[in-house]
Amino acid sequence: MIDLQVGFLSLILLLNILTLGSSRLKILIKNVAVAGTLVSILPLLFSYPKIAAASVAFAAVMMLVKGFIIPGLLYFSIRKVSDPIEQVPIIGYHISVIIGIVFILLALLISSKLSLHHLPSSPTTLTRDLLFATAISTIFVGLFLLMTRWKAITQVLGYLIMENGIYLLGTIVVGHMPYILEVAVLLDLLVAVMIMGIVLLNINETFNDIDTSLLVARSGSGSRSGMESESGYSKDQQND
Amino acid sequence: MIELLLIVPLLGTFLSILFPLKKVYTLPLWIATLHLFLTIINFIITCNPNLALIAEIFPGQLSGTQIQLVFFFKGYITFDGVSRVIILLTSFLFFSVSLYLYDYFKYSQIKNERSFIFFYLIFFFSMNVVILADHLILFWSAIELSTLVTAPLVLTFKTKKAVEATWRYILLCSIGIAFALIGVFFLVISLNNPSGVIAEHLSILSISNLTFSRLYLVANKLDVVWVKASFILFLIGYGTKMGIAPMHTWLADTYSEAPTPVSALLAGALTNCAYLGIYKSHQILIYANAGEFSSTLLKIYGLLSMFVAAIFILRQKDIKRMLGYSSMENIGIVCVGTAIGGVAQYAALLQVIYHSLIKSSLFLSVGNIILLYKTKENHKIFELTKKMPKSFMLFFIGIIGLIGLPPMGTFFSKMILIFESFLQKDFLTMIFFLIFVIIVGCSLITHLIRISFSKQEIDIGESRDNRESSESKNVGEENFDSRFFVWPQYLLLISSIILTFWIPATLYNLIKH
Repeated sequence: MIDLQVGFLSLILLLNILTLGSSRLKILIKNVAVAGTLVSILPLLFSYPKIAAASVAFAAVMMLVKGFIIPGLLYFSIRKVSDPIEQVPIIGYHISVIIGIVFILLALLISSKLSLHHLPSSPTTLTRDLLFATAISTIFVGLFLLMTRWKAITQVLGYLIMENGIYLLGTIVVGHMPYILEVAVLLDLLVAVMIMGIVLLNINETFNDIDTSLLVARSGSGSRSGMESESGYSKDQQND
Repeated sequence: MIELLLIVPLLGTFLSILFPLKKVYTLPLWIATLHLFLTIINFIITCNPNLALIAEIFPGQLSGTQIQLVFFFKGYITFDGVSRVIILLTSFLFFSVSLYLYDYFKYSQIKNERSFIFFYLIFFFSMNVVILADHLILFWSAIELSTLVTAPLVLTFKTKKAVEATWRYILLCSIGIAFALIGVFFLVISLNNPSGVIAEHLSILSISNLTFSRLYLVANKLDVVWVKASFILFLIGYGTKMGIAPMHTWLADTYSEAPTPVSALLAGALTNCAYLGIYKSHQILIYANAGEFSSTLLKIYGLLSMFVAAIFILRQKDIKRMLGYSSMENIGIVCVGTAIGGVAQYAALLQVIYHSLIKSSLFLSVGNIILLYKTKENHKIFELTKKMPKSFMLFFIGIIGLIGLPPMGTFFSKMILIFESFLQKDFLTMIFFLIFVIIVGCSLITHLIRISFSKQEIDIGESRDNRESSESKNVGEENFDSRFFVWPQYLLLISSIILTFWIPATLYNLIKH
């Protein structure tokens, strides 16, 4: 069972690296779908000998939401978007991959420094440390994507990856959350993606692209070409 | 009984789908009236000293000297202390804004009334959950929901700026609030003391019953390092939602681009909900004997917010952004008051109440101005005194209230705050506080005078950006200065003035805690 746990965790780590290195939005969405599925199954693996029927059902629901519905919605929304390839990011793909590896090392360092030995769940030191490291590095990767990519959809994916990381962190400490709350959190995520999707389509409709650099350019920082200069506001008013 | 406060808005949300389209604009008002009525009843019952009678009506709900009206979701929601005040305030604000919406729908450019009302009511529902929530995860999830459902409201007009503001709002707030969830997990870690000796109280506490009220009881046995770490994350998370300085970048845009009634609720009601998060986590830190730490952080970020607000309000050209930055100043004041503690905490809560009432009324008055002038830019608004005398008066009183001049309540809350910081010999905070308050006050007065009394300038290319930024239909000279366009503001301002001079004893006790 430990092998399986370690295998799943390292798979998530590898997916993170892959996500950082690829420019095609469709591949990114598939990565997030796979990662979401893995993350949904993991709590079952960690409570292996005594698995409640309810937790299996919840894991199935979560797999459905994180592995199929959310990626499906995103897939649907990029079908209407003209250009399914990420622009040149602020930090290039190769450097991103290296930074991703640095994140993993950093997270392993942090988790070895923290004294988590008194926590109830997770049996062995190896899996616990690895789980914590995976969680932290996944959160970092999500934030990194949010910061360095232009396409709105990549930012949504970054948010999802970050949320996955937080959920992983939760599985270490939480033990057993009441299902009503788990459902509430999951529902929040689903609503978030749906509403982000609506805004995404609106961005695409209004700006003919989902490139958020267009948004950034309008607010006066990091201006890039391709922006209509028809805003009625003078420059010094864009103050934030 | 308390559950009704959640069920009524939720019911309204469902009704908004089924209601006939021609009548759907009356729905918020019905729901708001019913909700306000229920809130007042609950408030009176829980504050009533005649407990024997109530215990007879609701057997088994009496605990000590307090009556608990939670029947179904025990351990998840609660109805005590500050949340009672805030829910009364929120319900009243929602009622006033719904009153305003009644006429606003006829003249505004809102195309899809049904979806607007749907999200508007579910927004109200989420605020109620936030205020009543006692469980940390429920609180978090409701705050997240309130962010998500306000995004379509901000997007209503679908202009480029609105789309941009919505994207920034939803992304920044979602990410910020995600940090608060990590904070909750850190609190769970802090339940396990590193010494290995798990205190008896703590062993029964886990994520499944992690409520604020239970945490206060056991806080002094928690692992302080993790508690401090969780406070930082709460400050980032709920602070983003509230608009504390380094995380404020969404605030002005969102307030500016949202339809004015929505801005009024965002500034008046939602800020308070986020403040509850900060307040409650600060409370945990105080009980855990680490109050110094959170006070310092709150003081620094509160003053920083006031500084940023003072800078940006100085030469602000957009009337709604101006109000947004003044909201930020208020957030700073509230944070500083909370940080100083003691009587200043009382002042901070007073400031929350007065500011909510005044700021909502101001946004609604500005809504009238925007409907008439079809612009949000300060320099295109002139001779307000002649064109809309009533709205001018309301706007004037509102701005006076924001600045905090004597007849308005904010004067007293700010004064108490300054006295308390003086008594605690916290001179540095006091000086910075005074400087920022004065800068904001002066710039607000300048803007007020310009808008109200200046003559019309010769404008070049006047109509260039009109349709982009206006909320109103082209219906000729309509009267935006009567009926439901001014009554809600009268209601809000009069209640704020009444509360300045007469605070009901029960309310006073609640605030004083």
